[in-house]
Amino acid sequence: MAKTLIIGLGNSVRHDDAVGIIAVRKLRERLNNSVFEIQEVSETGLHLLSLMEDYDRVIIIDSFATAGYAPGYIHRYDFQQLMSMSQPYASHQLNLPTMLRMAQLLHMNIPKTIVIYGLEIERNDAFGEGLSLKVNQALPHFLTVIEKEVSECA
Amino acid sequence: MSRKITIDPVTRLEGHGKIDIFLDDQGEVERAYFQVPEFRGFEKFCEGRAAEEMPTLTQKICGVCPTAHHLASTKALDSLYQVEPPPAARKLRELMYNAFMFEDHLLHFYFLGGPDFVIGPEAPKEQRNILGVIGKVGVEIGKKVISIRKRVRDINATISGSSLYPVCGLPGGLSKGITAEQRKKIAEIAREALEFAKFTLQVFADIVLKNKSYVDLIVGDVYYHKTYYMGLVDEHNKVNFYDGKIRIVDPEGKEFRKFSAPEYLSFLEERVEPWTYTRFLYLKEIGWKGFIDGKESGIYRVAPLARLNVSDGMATPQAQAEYEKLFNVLGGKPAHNTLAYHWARLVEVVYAAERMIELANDEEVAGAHMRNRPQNPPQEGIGVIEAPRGTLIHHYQTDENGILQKVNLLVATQNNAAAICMSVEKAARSFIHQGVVSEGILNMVEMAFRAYDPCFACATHSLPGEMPLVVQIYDKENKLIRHLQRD
Repeated sequence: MAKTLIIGLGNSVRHDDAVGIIAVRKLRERLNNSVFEIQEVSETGLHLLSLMEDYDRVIIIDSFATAGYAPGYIHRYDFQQLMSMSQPYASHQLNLPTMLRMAQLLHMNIPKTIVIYGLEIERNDAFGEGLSLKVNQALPHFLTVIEKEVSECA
Repeated sequence: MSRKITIDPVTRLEGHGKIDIFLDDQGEVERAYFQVPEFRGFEKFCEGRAAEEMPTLTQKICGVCPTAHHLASTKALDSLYQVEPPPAARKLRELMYNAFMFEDHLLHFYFLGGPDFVIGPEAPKEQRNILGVIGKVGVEIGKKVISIRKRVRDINATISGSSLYPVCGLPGGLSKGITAEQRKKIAEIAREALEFAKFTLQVFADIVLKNKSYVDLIVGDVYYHKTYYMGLVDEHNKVNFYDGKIRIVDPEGKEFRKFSAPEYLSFLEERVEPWTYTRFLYLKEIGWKGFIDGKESGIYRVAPLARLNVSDGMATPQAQAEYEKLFNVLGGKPAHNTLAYHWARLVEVVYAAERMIELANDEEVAGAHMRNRPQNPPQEGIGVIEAPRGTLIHHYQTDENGILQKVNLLVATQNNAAAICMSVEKAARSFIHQGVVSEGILNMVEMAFRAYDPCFACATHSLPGEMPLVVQIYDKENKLIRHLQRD
């Protein structure tokens, strides 16, 4: 069976930034843990890359703060879309496409399938716990969409 | 017509930043501002919580230097409960901390600051990144960087209980120790780390120091400020990342003040400017004189070059040899050359590796006694550590139950913030003339602050986060007349 890792990315004490962390905590209760591995992660760049090594499939769940989408909008990017973007993925160290290109260059064993799910958020500009109302309301549907994709491919 | 150029946010630094450059009618730089979209409220968020939560909570400030916050916080708890850790725990903390410094500094050279030199400051941006560096130094070296980083991070995972966010720090010591076998394994990794540190300095020597134009850039006037310097030193005035006294030297290198962390409020003061959230730190006794350098200005600098400037040397032999080489080339101590921060960082990489070996070879680090339990009621605690980006102070006040009443954090980049503003403005004034602002010129301006490896306490991970470099030009009425974007 293919090894799948689900990563919740975010900062648990910065309001909506925590949505990826909260999402994987809920998925942990809903999914069969013998099929999926689930991790909460707050660092991107090399650390994120090293976590992904040796898995067949990785699903990253993150918060998105873009202009032009309403809070609660669901974003989805696959590996090909990700690699075709110049700098679509933020990190405090390096963006994910650059990391993945580096991994290819160094013949690292990176997953064949990488999917990023993002929920458009309202606020992450202050420290505090708890999601904003619109993000909280959007969370159940967001989880259903992710659960459907990961379960279908399992 | 005056115009405004905005570099927002700056690429390839840790956290987010923005540069605004205002040009006058002739296209010369009138003023440049370096701004940080800082996220406020962490200190307030902590108040009302139990103090012992802080070592794990403060790591959430920043996804970049969790170990620095963890240990500064743990040391603040030692102070709060007036309890000293046993020697074994103290050494193990220092060992873990040097592993963190090694990894963080190494990452900066190969991934963040190095591309400007290894690839070239004016090279196309598509090449000025880790991919370009690998292209230049080779795939095998790229693999070694990834491998040694991973192995050194394993040291931290072994000691701290987590490869990223340590969970081991307690007031009076550590929650667990290591076995004799683990100690030997750590020593083995540390020896590999030293070899790779020396190799990296050789790369720097071959690519940077043998290139006259790079050396001219480093020792030239554009990236040069005569300031005070501050950093931790041990009892022999040698560099120490984990503990010691805070030493300040003046722009001539003469000791200005030396004090213990709890006295910091007597020497350091914060300045607020209307155009930024950043609180600029300066020397209280000298006073704030504006964004100017020199002995009469209270602006000081921290982090690698500052640490070397304030010390009388390195505590380990190979780092000491590299320290002497650096100051010989730069014309003596103190060195005021901002770009030499990159070099100083690599000298510290050698020190971190040597210190790891020393500590891992000490059988006491695998001892059983890892904690002295606190017996005293909590009151006030102050902890200091040298973060990769400079001196970091945690200050807590609690009630008799250890519930936080007041929290004050002086984060590393705050110390350098005023100097970074000066450096950016000076580079902008030097390179931008008659309104000509090329991509290469903008990168040369960015290099002025990238040398400091600034970190802006930005721990959000939301997409898209770091945007491509945006340059916006405004006329006098603040009307946008030109918009450039690096995709």
